[in-house]
Amino acid sequence: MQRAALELALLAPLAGILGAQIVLRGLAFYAHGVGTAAFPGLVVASATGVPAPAAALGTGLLFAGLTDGLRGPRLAADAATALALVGALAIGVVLASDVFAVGAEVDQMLFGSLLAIGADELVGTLAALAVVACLAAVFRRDWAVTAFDPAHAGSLGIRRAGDWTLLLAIAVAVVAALDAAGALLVSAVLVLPAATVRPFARSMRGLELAAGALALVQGLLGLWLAYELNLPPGAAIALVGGAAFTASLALVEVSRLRGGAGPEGA
Amino acid sequence: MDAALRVRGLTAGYVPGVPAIEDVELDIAGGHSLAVLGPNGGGKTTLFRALLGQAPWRRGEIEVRGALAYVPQTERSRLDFPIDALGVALMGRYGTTPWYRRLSRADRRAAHAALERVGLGDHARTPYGELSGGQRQRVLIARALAQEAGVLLLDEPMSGVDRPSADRVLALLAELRDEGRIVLISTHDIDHARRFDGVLCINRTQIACGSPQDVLNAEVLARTYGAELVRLGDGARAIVVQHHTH
Repeated sequence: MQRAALELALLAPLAGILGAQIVLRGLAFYAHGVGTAAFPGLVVASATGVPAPAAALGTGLLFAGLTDGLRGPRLAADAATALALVGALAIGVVLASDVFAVGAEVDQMLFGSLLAIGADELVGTLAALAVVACLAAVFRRDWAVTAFDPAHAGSLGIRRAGDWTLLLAIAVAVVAALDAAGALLVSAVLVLPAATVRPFARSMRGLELAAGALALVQGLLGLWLAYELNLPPGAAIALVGGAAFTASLALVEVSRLRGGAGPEGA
Repeated sequence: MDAALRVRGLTAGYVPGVPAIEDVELDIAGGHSLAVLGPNGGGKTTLFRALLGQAPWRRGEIEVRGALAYVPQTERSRLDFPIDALGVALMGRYGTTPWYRRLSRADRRAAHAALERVGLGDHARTPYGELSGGQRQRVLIARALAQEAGVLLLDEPMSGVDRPSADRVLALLAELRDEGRIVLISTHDIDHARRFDGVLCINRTQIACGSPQDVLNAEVLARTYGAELVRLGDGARAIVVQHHTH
């Protein structure tokens, strides 16, 4: 339980820093895709003894590269993502059931195993946090300017790092969140909090801090619910996140109906 | 401010060997303004990209004295981005701030001063998305001023802006020019072009460049706009311009 809470506390800053970028750049589907693509990596790791984070990051990045290669004039980026995502999930299922027979662990791979987190996983998440913090420290202005005005970021005289720095950071964060939320629920940890607080944020810093704080609160609440009601923790966190998002939507709608410009305009 | 811009035989495009503009010649001293007039797809954007060093392929010479800054169309920037006017102006300081340093007080002062300069000192904390089109355009100009630009390139600064705001932007651009800067705008509005010191007409190649009186005549406009030019009933000409999309 304490380890699970600690894991959530380590994931919260990732949800803050990268969640803000994900919702502003429209990368939620990419984040979900990397998570799903990590699934076949986890299956292979479980059967062969390769370290799970390395295998997950490997297939996750392979997915990112594949998506980038597939998209073009004839295939929109979201269609390319969907294609690679379905492929990864199918390959994972075939590998798990027919090749390596790791069926019993598939649930954990897909939906997380927050209560079974050990010291190794915590160290892994800490390492991911360090990598993302470094990338964010170096490239945060680049990311912000590119999100605000993608075509003209170059004319501001800043070093253009390219989107790969952000995509890499997201992939690392997704892999770190796999233990807590699993391949299919990472978005609940990394994307939902930022999407929930975004309409109320007035600055980038505010969005990051609020998303990080909400990620921690909804994570702990989900963990507590899972413990009390004997639910799978990943799913409980996703449900709490979904409820918070719905409440945020309702709040936006109410303030819009009241005649204001909505919280974005307040 | 001692800005200068000299362009010789500039040919540029997106694919090597396929020029989007050819043989552009310019010579502008500080304290002068120029309107680049031409149809959509005529090469206005390519010219600016080439000046900024962002054209994928380019031949010819470009000499610039003073920092270049680009002011995009307000319609292109995001209104749902969590940032206020000051935050946008501060982006103009990113280029001179290494990643390991925070923006300094001097940077903040410069951004504030730039907002004051464009008449938006009171709106520093207003979310960018809540500003009017004209105010957003002036915030983006403030961002360029925060870059300490000697040469300003503005992409259709009066588009998406109501008439009084457009006049205000034009007046501001005249002031910035009078301070010794070079102001270049792209436009497809002949009336706006008339209010600049010089006009460059391009349609793939340079059609004419000179004072508005010399350049803005029926013959040059016909060559600039070609088939897009239609004759109105009273014998006057009008320009058919589709909404700019690219």
